[in-house]
Amino acid sequence: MVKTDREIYEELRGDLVRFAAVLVGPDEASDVVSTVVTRTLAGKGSLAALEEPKQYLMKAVSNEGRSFGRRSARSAPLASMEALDRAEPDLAEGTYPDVTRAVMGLPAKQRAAVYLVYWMGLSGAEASRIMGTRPATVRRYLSLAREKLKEQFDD
Amino acid sequence: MTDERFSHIAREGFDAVFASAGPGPDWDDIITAPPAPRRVGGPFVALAGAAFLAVAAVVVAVLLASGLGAEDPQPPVDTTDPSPTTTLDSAPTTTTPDATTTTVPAIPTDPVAGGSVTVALDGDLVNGFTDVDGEFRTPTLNPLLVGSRGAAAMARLVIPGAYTIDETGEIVPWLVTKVPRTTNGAVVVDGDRSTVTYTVRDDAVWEDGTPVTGADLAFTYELMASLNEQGAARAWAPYDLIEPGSIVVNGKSISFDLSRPDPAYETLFEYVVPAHLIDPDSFVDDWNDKLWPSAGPFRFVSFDRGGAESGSTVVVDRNGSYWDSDPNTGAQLPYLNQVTVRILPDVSAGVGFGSGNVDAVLGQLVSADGGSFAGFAEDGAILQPGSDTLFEVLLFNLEDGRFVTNPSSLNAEADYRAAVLASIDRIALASDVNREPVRSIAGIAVDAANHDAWDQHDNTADVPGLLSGLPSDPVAVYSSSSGDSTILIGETASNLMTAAGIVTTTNFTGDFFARMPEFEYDLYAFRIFAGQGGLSGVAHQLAIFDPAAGTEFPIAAWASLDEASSRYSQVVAQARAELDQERLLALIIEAEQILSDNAVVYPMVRKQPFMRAWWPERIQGIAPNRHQQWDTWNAATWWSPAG
Repeated sequence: MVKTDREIYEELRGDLVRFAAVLVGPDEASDVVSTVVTRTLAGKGSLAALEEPKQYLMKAVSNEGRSFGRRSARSAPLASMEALDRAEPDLAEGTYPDVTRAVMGLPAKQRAAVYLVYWMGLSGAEASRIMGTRPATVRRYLSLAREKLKEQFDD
Repeated sequence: MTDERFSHIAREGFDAVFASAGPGPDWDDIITAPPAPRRVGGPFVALAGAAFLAVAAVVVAVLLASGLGAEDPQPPVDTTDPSPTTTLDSAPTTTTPDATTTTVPAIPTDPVAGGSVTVALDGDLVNGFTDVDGEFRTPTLNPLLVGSRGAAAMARLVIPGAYTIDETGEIVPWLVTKVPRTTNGAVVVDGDRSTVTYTVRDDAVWEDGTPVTGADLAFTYELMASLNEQGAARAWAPYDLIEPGSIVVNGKSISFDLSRPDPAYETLFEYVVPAHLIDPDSFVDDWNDKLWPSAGPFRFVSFDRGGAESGSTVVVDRNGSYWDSDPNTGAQLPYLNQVTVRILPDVSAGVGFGSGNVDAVLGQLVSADGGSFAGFAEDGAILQPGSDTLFEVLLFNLEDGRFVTNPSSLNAEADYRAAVLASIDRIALASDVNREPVRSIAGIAVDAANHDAWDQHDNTADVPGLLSGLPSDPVAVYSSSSGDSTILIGETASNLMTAAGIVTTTNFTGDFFARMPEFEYDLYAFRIFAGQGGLSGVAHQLAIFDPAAGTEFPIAAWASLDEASSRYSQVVAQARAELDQERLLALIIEAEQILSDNAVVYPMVRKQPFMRAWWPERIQGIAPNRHQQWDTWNAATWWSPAG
């Protein structure tokens, strides 16, 4: 049975908003999701028309998160990937545990890789498609993230 | 840090963020929100035409590969009798074009070297677009980047690929000695591991004399991976089929493992980039107004971006280091000294065909009826219908939604569906709408793959018997989009059905594609590609008719035929992972046989969407190839009778 756009969205909503929160922080997550879905509907006509709605929308969130990173960092539009990596979401002082600050303090692409692989349970290949990179790069992001967290929690 | 510990920290860290983020926006808030600004270009191109192009994006999943073949320059022919195809007994006959002239000038019949020509192509290298990063960009000549129509046509003159697609739809080698196959030892399957080897031709060199090697193919892959990572690649598929880290270069050869079995590997290396001349770090910026050094028949000379009215102009001249020769004459290619290409958004820019400024008008500049060019035929110009692998297909909706459109729908009755197919005489339909009938979907894409699975529906005399046992009088509603040619085909097919005893009304609407996923149509028809060269394209396109594909291809609504549709799903899935060409063809034929036996879809006629025009006394060798989007595919063998 073919799903309606509403049904597709409701199915993916949680994944999308969480991914957006990983990328841009909790305060902006809903805006990112709303922007992505609205733009997709405007451009594609419907979510059901997408080949792979989940992958498409997750990737769109990833891209929008990148744009947010650029804006947030007040970088030039063609800012280097390194600059984007440094863009960190704002977390209100004193309201988050250290572990959250540590995880959200990782570079954006490392956060994305960790979320996709360790929270969503995607394979490296699946995560790479969403992130628009190669599986080997995802593995590298995970390795870097692990090293970073190890410094803070295992020392 | 153990994996478990890492996972625990990550989850714990994220949980607090997710709690703060809340559940996300409500659907009702989203659909009532003002539209977000559209961004064009990049991996998520927001194309015009909304859902139509969403479906188009699906059916164009196999990219329109183009290339350069060794086509024999054609002597002038007497083409006063168009002789439209009227039989299904042979493969579609695009290799014998319907052309119209009244005068055939006395011109040489054998190709001669030398001379220069000016051709016009459709494309836009003037107006820019907003890229994924929000930056406004002017169109690029670089065919590997997100760009515009026109760039690829130009690139085919200069940049070779590992393969090209000949007029029969076969993928044939260009830069390499052979297309890797299981049968020629260049594809080796060992358990779950599939290894592919390409070997570059010994004589292939770049224009500076440097040999083309396996390192250039490896470099091309790395470059594509980098572009993909930057979101700048025109297309990443099929390069995702190469397992990262598996590439081994050995002189002229390159071997790699496939990340998954998929026959689409045969479309790897559509363009090859010279490793010794390209700086990967500045590749995105370096080649927007020029083409890189050639290993193809021509060399880049100049680019004038021009303006919206004049269009753009690109000049290329003979690459003296080109390594290929005409297989029919043995002559060194290319024949022409120089080609000037005018790239125009449309013919309103003023092509200059009649005034002699342009020798040929190619691509899709001339409408299917010839438009204002029709009169040039009287002066000796050749006008030739162009086509691609688009075809019109009819589908039966077996979901309950069909009753919304037609409360009397009999789609669930197998005899009724067979009667509809038998009532639509494809030869009569094609003749009435000036199209070519479809014999098989595979045969559109690859001549040699044609088969007779659909022939069982060719007898209109079967209709009364099929209708005699139905529980009610047959009434059908035929829905499609509102394009002129679609309406013509739909009206004609509906008339044939009504004449055969199936009372059919039509419903042509502009929002046809947007409403398609709702599955509220009774019978519905639209055009799709049959794949663009090679069997891998067919295998992937047949997934469009797989109801199990669900929202991936939301156009097939015959899932209630559980046994048939589940076998179809299985066969198509196998085909999409089959590396052996013989087994792949068998699976494709089986898939089409299932569709035909259950009469759930019906491929009817092919579309001929445009015309080409040229002056035969000025340019020869232009050849139709429905599998190549770009008419420059065989420019190496164009020649000028003037010499």
